[in-house]
Amino acid sequence: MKAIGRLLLVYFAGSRVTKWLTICGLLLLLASLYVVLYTPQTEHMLALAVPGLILLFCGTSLMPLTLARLAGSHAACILPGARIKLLLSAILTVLLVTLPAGLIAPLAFVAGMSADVSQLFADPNLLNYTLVMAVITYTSACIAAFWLYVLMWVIGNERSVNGVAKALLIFLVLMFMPTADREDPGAMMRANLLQIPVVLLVFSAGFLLWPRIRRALAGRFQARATKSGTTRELAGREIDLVLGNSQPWPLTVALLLPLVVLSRSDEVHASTWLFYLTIASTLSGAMTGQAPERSRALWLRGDWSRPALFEAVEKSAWRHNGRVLMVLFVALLAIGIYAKIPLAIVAVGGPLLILGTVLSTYLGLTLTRGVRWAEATLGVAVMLILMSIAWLMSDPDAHMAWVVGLFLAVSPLPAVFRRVARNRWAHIDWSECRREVQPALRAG
Amino acid sequence: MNEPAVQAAQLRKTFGPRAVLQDLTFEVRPGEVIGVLGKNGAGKTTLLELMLGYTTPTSGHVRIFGHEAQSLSGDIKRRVGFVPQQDELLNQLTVAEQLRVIASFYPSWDHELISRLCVSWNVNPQARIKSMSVGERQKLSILLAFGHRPDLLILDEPVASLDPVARRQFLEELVELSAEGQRAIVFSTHIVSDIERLASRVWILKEGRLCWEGELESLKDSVSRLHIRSGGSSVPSFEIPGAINRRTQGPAVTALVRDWTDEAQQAFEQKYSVTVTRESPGLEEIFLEMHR
Repeated sequence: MKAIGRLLLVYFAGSRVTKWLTICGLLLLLASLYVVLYTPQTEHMLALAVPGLILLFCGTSLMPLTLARLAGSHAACILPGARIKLLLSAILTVLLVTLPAGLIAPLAFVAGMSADVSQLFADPNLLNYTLVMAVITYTSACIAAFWLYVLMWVIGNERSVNGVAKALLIFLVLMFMPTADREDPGAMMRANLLQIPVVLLVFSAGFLLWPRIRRALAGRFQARATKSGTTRELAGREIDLVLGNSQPWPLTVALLLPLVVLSRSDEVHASTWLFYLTIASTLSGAMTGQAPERSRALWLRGDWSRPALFEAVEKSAWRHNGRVLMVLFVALLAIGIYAKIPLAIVAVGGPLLILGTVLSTYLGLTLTRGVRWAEATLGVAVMLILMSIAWLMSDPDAHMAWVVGLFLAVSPLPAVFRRVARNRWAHIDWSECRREVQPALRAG
Repeated sequence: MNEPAVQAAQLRKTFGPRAVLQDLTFEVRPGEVIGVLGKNGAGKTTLLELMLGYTTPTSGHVRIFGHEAQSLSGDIKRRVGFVPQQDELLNQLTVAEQLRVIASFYPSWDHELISRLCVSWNVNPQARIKSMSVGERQKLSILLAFGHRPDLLILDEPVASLDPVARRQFLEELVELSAEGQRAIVFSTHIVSDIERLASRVWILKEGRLCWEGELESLKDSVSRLHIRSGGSSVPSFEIPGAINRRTQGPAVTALVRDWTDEAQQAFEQKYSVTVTRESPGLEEIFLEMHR
């Protein structure tokens, strides 16, 4: 129990940032509880609860990565019951992080029905209904949090195109999962209560048996690799290989898969397509964020000064991202025709995709000292602006002036980011851009 | 042609408020094999990274074959080989593919040497890198640094992950390489016996400073361990000339001293009425004593 408690403490308050996120989240949730219980009801009753829940979740956002690292460490093989303790700590995190949702939402619901919360126990029907609501809210939150953690684990653990592809595949599976009738709370509760043990059982079995599965798979793959002995043609792609830009196609396929799935639904709005394509355009650029760290291997192997290396890396990034962008363009046109999206939206969608790719590419190239607060904030801000443009473009009531204004506001940014990136590369210090090595360890 | 392979003056590197390296001045000449010893966090990796231009000195400078490490030309870089502490291999490739990728950056790549080493080090060219063990990856990293037969070879803890057999093979190969022409080799390690076997000079880093820099034999010759015993029950207060450190245990004092001579010992014994026994410690003992 002690080990699990310590692990939970690490998940909720492992770093200074996550500790403060957790504390702020809890304070907001406490304030929200007070608002729900003791103040007159308003439509903004949950205004504190929602950000509180998000902050609490963000406070545990390092849990999947920490869990993956610990599970993959040698210590996990030696320490008694390490894997089971890790598993329990992860499940408890899911159960704890969603607990406030299960507590507050039904209370708010009761208050929203103009009933005094104190009357809850006086009315058996209300109490029963509230309990059902509480279970539905809690179990739904548990399921959502679980899958979010899984997606974060997959992306965070691999930090590569493979990771994104796997995460998108999981996302696809989730989209196809049968859902219960939302109008029937009883059915929904039963579905959730069935889904949680099934999912947890499958995950637990996979997690606990993974060392054996991995050993079996590794032996088989190694034997096959040794037997086949095929080598591919790599000439001319060396720089791209070192920088991780040699294969744009797996990423492209991974980005297009959800589009194929979305196309099966009749109710997809133009904004959804644009939203997705804009996110896709920034993802290819975000891959460029690996370039500073990976370029270390190139430094000693070519006639590059630091500025010249930046240009070589920039060209390589565009060889990769340009191809992804081209495919996204074609996808936009195809979707435009298929989903009968107005031509004006398709026409403005193109520049939006270019903007997304260019901004994220140069933002990625500025990461010569890893991701710090400034870069993270800038990344989120850029995404929000691009999302806003996509949303405004497909909203018939929105003023075009807003779209144009936002476009104009953002359009100088690529040049600014490129300039910053070039300046940073002129003084790039490879000991600073290694993600996993802290300065104290670096001195070793 | 006999220009120093590496030359550094007043080299200083800080990470935030912490000074990792302080005022280092040194030279590596062709043909020298330098072993860098230091505890974890002593600044070995930072020193090697500074020498290769990966990181910028806070002050001072490093020159590689007479050129600033920060702005090395392609010709100079081709004369340098480096084995990093954490490998930079491409997981999706096979060994042969990785070797071809790196070979393409060098106009002269010794395919014959690499093929021979692959066989003798038991590295399977068809193996996929992601399925290789840490030791196998380390062997491949070393091969990648050897292939272009560099004039300056810098290795950051190259044998840390190797088994004893592979370590021995690697050291033999390194001896052979260092014997060829005027090759300079700088390698950091925690394994003192490897330095004793291979290095012609030793640098001992302590808290960011070179607390010893010189030939291995002269280090061993110049450092002595003294056991000083006084006749009385307590230790008399005395100055030990050239003392690196001293430890007191009852009436006895053990001290590590530099440049101790028979004459100095005689004078010391007479001056303080003590008995001095002198012994020559090995490199590991010297290193440990320096860090006590």
